[in-house]
Amino acid sequence: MNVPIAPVRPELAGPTWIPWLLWLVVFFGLLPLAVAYIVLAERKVAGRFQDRIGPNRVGPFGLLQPIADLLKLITKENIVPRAADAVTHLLGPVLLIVSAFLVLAVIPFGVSGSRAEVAPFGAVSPAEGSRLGYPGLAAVDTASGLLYLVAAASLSVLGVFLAGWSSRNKFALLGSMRGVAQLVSYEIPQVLSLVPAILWASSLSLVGIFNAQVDQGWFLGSPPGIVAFVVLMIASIAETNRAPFDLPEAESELIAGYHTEYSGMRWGLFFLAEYLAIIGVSCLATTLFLGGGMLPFTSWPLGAIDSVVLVNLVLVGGFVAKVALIIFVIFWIRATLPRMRVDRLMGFAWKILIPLCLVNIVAAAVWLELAVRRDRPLLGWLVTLPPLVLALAALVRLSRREGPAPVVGRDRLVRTPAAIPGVGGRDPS
Amino acid sequence: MLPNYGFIGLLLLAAVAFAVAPLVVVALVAPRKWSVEKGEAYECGVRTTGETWVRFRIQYYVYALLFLVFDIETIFLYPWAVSYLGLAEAGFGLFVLVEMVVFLVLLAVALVFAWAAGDLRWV
Amino acid sequence: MQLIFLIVSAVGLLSALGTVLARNLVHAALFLVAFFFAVACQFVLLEAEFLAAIQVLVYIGAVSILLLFGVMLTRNIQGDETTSGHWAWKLPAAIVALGVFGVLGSSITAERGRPGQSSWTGTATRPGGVNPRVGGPASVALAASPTGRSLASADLDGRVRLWLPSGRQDSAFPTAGSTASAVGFSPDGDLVAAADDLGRVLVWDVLARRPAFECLGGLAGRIASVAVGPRRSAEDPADRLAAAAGLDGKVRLWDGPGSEPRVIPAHDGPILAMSFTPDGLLVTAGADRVVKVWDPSPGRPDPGDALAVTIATEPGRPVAALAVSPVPPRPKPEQGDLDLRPGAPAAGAPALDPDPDPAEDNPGGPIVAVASLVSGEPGRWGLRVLDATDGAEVASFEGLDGVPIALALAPDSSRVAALVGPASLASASPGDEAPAAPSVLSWEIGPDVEDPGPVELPVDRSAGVGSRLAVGAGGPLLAIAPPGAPIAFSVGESGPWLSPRSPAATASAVVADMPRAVGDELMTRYVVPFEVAGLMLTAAIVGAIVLARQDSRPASAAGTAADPTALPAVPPVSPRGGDGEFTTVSVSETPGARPER
Repeated sequence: MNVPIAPVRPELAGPTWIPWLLWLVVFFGLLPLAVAYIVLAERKVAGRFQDRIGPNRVGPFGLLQPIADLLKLITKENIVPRAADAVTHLLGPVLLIVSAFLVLAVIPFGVSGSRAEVAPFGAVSPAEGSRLGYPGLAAVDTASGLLYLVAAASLSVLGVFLAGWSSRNKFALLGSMRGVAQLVSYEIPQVLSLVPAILWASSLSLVGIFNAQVDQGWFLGSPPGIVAFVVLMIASIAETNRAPFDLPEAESELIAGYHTEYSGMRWGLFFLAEYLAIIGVSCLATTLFLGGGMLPFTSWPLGAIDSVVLVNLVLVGGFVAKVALIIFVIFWIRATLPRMRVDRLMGFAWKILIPLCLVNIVAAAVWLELAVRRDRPLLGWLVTLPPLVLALAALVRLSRREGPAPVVGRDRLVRTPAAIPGVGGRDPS
Repeated sequence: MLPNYGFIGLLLLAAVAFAVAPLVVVALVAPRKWSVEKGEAYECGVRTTGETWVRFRIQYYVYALLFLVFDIETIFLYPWAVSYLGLAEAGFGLFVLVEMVVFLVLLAVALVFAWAAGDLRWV
Repeated sequence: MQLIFLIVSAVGLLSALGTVLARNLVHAALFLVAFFFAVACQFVLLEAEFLAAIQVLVYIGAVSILLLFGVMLTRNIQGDETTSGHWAWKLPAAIVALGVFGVLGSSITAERGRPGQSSWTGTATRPGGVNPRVGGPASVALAASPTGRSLASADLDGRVRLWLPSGRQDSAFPTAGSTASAVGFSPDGDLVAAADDLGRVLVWDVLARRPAFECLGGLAGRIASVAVGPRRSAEDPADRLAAAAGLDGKVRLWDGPGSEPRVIPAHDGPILAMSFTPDGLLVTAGADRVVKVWDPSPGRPDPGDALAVTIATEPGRPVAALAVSPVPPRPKPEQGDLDLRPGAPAAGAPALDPDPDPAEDNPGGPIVAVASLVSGEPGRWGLRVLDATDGAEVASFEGLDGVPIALALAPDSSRVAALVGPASLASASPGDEAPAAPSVLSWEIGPDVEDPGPVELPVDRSAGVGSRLAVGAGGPLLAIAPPGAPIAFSVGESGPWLSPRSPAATASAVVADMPRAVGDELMTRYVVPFEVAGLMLTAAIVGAIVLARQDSRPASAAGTAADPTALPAVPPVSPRGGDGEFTTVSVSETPGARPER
């Protein structure tokens, strides 16, 4: 009879200052640096798309351009409009930055151990016994990780509102109201498109989701997974106010939207927050649907190589490559697509993405039953793909049916009673 | 769990410091030449007229209301998604799936209602 | 921690004040957001991270946006023009506010504390080593009570729990700072003891559910079993011997509460099982394949001279598992005679025992069960039940299918059970195919048993090496504690295994994996009424809409152009009455619907 040794979860071991400091260095040293060069890359890429060269004057290939930009921002005057609400004027960009950093705290960039030995939060089915998993290379791994991430991301809405409201500028206010409406509308499809991943991993912990993909393969490899990934990317682009969803800062109608009254380094904070948010959503999509840093169709370095460093060389490398690819696609979309009209933008979220997500959740459950639990992926494809395609087609048709945009007479919309009298037939004012 | 959130608190404070620090540097380095014109609201060079903090349409409020409904739904959907596999293995799969389909249908009814009532139409 | 709590509370209170006092409505809303955030921090301090995330997501992310949009609907954002009225209007409001405050304050301070504590004090430590699975913390040791009425487990969250045979938790005793590594009952079943590796033995009263006494200062070391002796005096129920035996082969023996422990080197190898007999003798069985029955009272000779029985006669037979029971097997009680009596004719309980003293017609001592390799046949394991005093074989079951992992004897020696791993377990390496599931075999033993069994119960594959097993006295109760997983019971002859969900177990699981706990609770308990209500509400709304349509149709046809069917063809919409599609009509062509300005 051997006496079992009580398994002690590492998180119970108390605060560990050295990893914390290392993570702070990563967050506040590496990530801003990455942002600087992502900006440079975007300018270069955009230049190529537009048949230009892009910045190439400062340093070799323009590599010192970010530093020059930073120096320029720092030496610019710090202007706060006379009528602005000074404290909230500062609070807006700060909230955006905080939100962007907090989101990144739960992302597992790799593994912190090369042996599967911790039972991840969740990812356990009572009949199978506990499934082992790899400890993740994340600053924080909690049982509610994904919910925490969504909550942290939702803080940015408040920042956008405060920035526009505190400026006391009509364009800024209009931009921020538009921005908030857009952000809340696209937050719903974003949140709903995460559900399939949670469902399949049976865990809200991002490390648990990563481990589930080590078992089951990338979550992208199924019809509900593809739909969820695409919806997540669309919603994430809208959440970061990137083209073609950059209406809050549409320069042709709203000057610069909610950050009209921000200049110099204050504007730089918005800029930093935007690109940090892009990194954040790319990391999220990578972790949830592209298997983290895993190579496609194999979990090869995991379990085969014993050295954590070597395994992480592959995993973190793969992770960074995938994130870079997603960011490139975001640049590509920006260089390609024109800005959407505001009513189309809202209609797209509410009339196509959200109903599609609701259908997709059911499809994801069906996929789980057929392909994961009963191990019949082909049947899963046959059953889940047609309804999703049909739903998408029907939704597109339905949303196009509404006819041309309403005509605004004087300052109010005039609208006939809608198709359901008694509901739509109320006073339109 | 608490150490985790200790780190999150630290990260929050550090992020605030990280956002404010450049502004401190700017205050030390950047020139300061104040003029009345600089303090005006920038509205394409036209002097601003009227009250800025105007009243907005009810439409925004309706969107926020709808958003709240769908946001709260995540409280239900996420734990369901977490528990589904375990409950399915325990033999409750069909029941739990039907439960969620009913819930999603209820949500869809809300959405259809808002759609039919014209609340999803941006103006 | 206390400091963080105070800071967060202060921030929350200040921002609540700010919400009330701010003139600017947006500022007030911002203070409210700060208050929401303080509440989220409090949730984190209470280790309810799921609720904290929900708080941030719903209140800061959605409700505050709703509030701000509401504020943007109003005219007086800035609070420039005061909307405050006359003092006579403020007075009733102030009285009501103060009254509410008073009621809250008095009811909070009127809260009575737990016995022995003043109100609003007391600390609770976070349970450690909680397994994330719903079902509770894992157990490291099990013991069945001789009374057949309860079963004890030493759990990784630092508690010793007593379970009823039905699988419900009876009580939980905190072990104050350490995790017990062994539990054991006294022969009369009145006391349960737990020993930890630091040299302590804690003893609780089973019926009164409170601590009885504790023995401190023992030699530290890995403890494998613990036992409490029978009552020695009529006056003091706590006057008993207590013993803890470790893997170092030494018995730590306390002569009653508060006494200094003696350390007795009893075996050459680890002591794997130990029990007190009802007449105060100690039975120890060790990995040195020796069982000793000796008198541990002070002044008696050392166990080295005591009666020793070598239990594995052939030296080539490795012992896989051992179990001891303090009483000899007895004839089965008559039907209807429930197991309310102690397993042995202990002092103070003979009135309950209608049977004659079984020792008279069934002479014999405590028994020991040994699972060992059958000699000459590699891979075949056998189980033998021996009399510990003379080594006579009581029962023998040959030909187990796999390696015996754990062995348990019922405290009344009525049954023996073995957790048998799959045959390939011994040679299983990580690359092999998953072996067949282990199973629990149980046999009846006793002089008048015709068909000893075995009864086979398959168990979860997680019940591998390191599992603990216990057999209840009398009834067919079996309990198993797989490593790192919660305890599971089998009440009937054929299972199934049930994992108890005690409040404490659920609470610990909630702390570890709150989303899953919420989901399980929602889906198994609370969802149906709400969905029924939702369905009824939906039906009502849909019905109302349909009714409204029917009502409005004649009116609209008579007067206005509001009815879509009455409209002239409006491209590109083709209104189809009645099937509920979403038709919003271009308005420039329908001046009839334009309201008057």
